[in-house]
Amino acid sequence: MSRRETKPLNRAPHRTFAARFLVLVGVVAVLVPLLPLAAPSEVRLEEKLAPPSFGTLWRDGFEPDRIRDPGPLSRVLIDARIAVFGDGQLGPLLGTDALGRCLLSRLAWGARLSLAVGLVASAISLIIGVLWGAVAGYSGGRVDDIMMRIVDILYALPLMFIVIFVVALLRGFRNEHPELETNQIIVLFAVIGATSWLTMARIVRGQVLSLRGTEFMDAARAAGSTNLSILRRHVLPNVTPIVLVTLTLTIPRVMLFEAFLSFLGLGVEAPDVSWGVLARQGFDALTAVHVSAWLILFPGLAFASTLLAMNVLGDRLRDATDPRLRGDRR
Amino acid sequence: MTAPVLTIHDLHLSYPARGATGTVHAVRGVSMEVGAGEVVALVGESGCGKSSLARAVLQLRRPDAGRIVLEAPDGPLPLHELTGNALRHARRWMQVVFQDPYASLDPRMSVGDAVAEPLRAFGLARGAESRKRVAKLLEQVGLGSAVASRFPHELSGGQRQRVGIARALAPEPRIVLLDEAVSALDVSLRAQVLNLLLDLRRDLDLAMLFITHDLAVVRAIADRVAVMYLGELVEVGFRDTLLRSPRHPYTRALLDAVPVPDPARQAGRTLVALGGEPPSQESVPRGCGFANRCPLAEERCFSERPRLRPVDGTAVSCHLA
Repeated sequence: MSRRETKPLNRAPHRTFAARFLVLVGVVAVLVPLLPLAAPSEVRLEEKLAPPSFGTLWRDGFEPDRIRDPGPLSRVLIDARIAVFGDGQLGPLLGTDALGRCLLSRLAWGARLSLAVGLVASAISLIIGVLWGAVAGYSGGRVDDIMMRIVDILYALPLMFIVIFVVALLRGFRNEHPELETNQIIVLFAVIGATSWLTMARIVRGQVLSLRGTEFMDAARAAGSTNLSILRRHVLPNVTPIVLVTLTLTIPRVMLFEAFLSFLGLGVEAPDVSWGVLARQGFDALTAVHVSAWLILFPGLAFASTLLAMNVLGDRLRDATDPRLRGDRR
Repeated sequence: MTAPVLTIHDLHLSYPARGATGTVHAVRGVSMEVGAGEVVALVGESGCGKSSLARAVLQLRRPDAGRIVLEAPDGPLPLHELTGNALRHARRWMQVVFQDPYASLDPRMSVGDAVAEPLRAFGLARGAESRKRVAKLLEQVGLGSAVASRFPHELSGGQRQRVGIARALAPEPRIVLLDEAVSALDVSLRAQVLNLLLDLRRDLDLAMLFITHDLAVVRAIADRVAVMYLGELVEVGFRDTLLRSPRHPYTRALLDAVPVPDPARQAGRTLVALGGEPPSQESVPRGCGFANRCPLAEERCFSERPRLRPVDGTAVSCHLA
């Protein structure tokens, strides 16, 4: 790493800021249970629709049981939190919703789910998309034709409609078999992931196709490499940069899709919280007589700034992997 | 000539023409042999099918017809019949150095990994043993083992071409195909690489099929020369005989096209300049492929296709030679 390589980054302070902001959001999302926040589903009807205020900074009354089936990691973190803060918790600094639940806490817990959906669904689309595109582009000919026609067909289908259909089917299935305890979030992950790999597949396929014509691929074949090892040692490393860039564009897109579904009531279900769910509840709290602006403002702000930071970082990644912008250094 | 390492018999290769429904006949019935430790130069102008021939011989592109037999230590390998793993292992004995030292190395693979690739792929060496052999190969081509950790873009064109050669030598092949391997290099580097190849040939008894359009290179390195025109061999012979007394009008024109580095002699030469262009490879003429540009062509040249036949120790494909 030369000095020249770090310089352009310093000249773009918004990129540094975006990176730090994302790290902060990520850390908060992972460590929410450790923070001295109210349980996200702790109802205090007497405080409903309280506006943001610093009137009560700290108070007792943390109810760990209100956190619905936490995973092993969360359980450890909750135990640690109780050890440190006892049953103390921050007051509703960002106000409360229609059931008197603390918005700050719900935002933090919502970050968890929103980011998780973005990451997991993107990971699914990464695996399917890269494999599909690489195989199609590398095989060429008829295999390529068939595989890419499948992608074309899926592109042409109204995905929104399919997702609604699947979620509705699942609801029916759950009503008939409540004992199976199917988790809608898992289905959400799968559905979004399964429908968001198409762009990735197309991009990877195009890149692989152009790689296939290069002399070093022939050279690898002449050197006795098997198809598998050519894919692993030559194709994948040369495809990685463009995949990374596509990925940074996919994550925000998927998060937005999740929020959209949740807003429509098809995604994350109460009592789970995501930013899309919060936006929905804020919207529901809007009435002609009472405008609780904070319930829309803060989830919207959290979501918008996260997406913005991701896009800024995606830009940076693109610049860093573009040889024309990277120059002839090293 | 010693026993052939590589025997090519009646090789044909065609591509579907771009856009249209026609076919480009790139290689039309080429037969030749390369003996053990022999350097055969394949010369011809751009587009005459030299590189297509190399691709077909290497089975990077399957030929339409023809036999290619590679003499391996444990018996002859009919490359045109082999598929899958058998073909992959057969490649060990015939390696290739490509024309473009920039395009033929993976930009994301270190030099050491690139040279080790055939060792790993053919299961010849791994781990420390592989590193040792890579270091030795890099020394052999005059690069020094420290280059192993570098990436191609850190090297000059000449250095890259040496990496390509080291890589081709790694599995200890019997024959190396060099497809315009020195054309991309500037003159001083070209001499270095040619000397290197001659040294390697002496030390390793390596056979080479050297594809080039540069007659100076032919003079420097070849034992025998094969001249290709429009997908066919028009003249094959020993270097000195062929260069001193070319039999085929095309070979003569080719030699005349090289300027002599002596103004007096250059002025005194009677040159056979070639007019026109080679015929389209999509509609190859019925008679001699060269007839339309040949200063000597007779009626029979346009109707009857000549075959390679021996004339004073050289094989020539011309009715008039």
